[in-house]
Amino acid sequence: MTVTDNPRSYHYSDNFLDFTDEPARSRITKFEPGNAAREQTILRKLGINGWGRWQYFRTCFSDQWGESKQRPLSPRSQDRFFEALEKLRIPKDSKASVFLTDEGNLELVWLDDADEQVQIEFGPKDFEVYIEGSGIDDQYSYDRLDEIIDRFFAG
Amino acid sequence: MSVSGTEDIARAICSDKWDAETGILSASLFKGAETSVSRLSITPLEDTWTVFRKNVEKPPERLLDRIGIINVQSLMDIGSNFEANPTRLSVEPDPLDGYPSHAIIPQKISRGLANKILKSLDIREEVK
Repeated sequence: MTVTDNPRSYHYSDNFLDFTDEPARSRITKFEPGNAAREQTILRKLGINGWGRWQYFRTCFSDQWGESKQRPLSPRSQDRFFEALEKLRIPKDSKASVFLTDEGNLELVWLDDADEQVQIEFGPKDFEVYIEGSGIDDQYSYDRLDEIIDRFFAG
Repeated sequence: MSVSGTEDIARAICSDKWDAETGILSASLFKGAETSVSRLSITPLEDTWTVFRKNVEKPPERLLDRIGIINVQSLMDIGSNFEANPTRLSVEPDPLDGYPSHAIIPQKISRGLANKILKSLDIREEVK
């Protein structure tokens, strides 16, 4: 192997932060230029309460937390959450909220017209859907996101 | 030896799982494995608030809002009667330094089962 075969021909020590990683893999909280658009999206879809909870998780849960060293908010989960939020139809007057799971995933919950819960957890590789009213309780890969939203939530 | 079915256990409900504004409680409170609980037969509820605060309010912005209580036998019955995937649940003592009432539910709990458990949870606010 030559030097040109390996774009990174040097190594970091284990505790040295590698800024060449994609932002989604970095543990460092950086300025994120897309956040203004995200703030508008979450305000439009979930109101001030949803916006406040997202900010709370972003600012206070960026490192290990809780009694069992739960995982910090996952940037990948956050990316997927916003991708889905843009497409979801959440009834205007329904109660909706955001939660943080112990795995560092964002979880979106709202009450449907029958006051029953709809829950979506955004994992880094797949998402979990629970619809209390219809008994749906399943996990899907993100390549099916549009299909699942069309099927259950596009209304 | 597993915790007796006659005992009641308490689960800390913090601001990441409970939205006081909407009153929605997240199923992720019980979803997953090794769920941390406290035995009320060892630490009574009035003292459990202090014990939980010391252990769960990390970072300090994470606040203990409520405590959820469930009887161990009820928990086991919910698991074994869960039609989609009957699950044998147990509560195992796991005393920690300065926290002798600590116990865990070691089994992996699915979202569907967690939702069933939430419906049987007796949710308490602190009496001040």
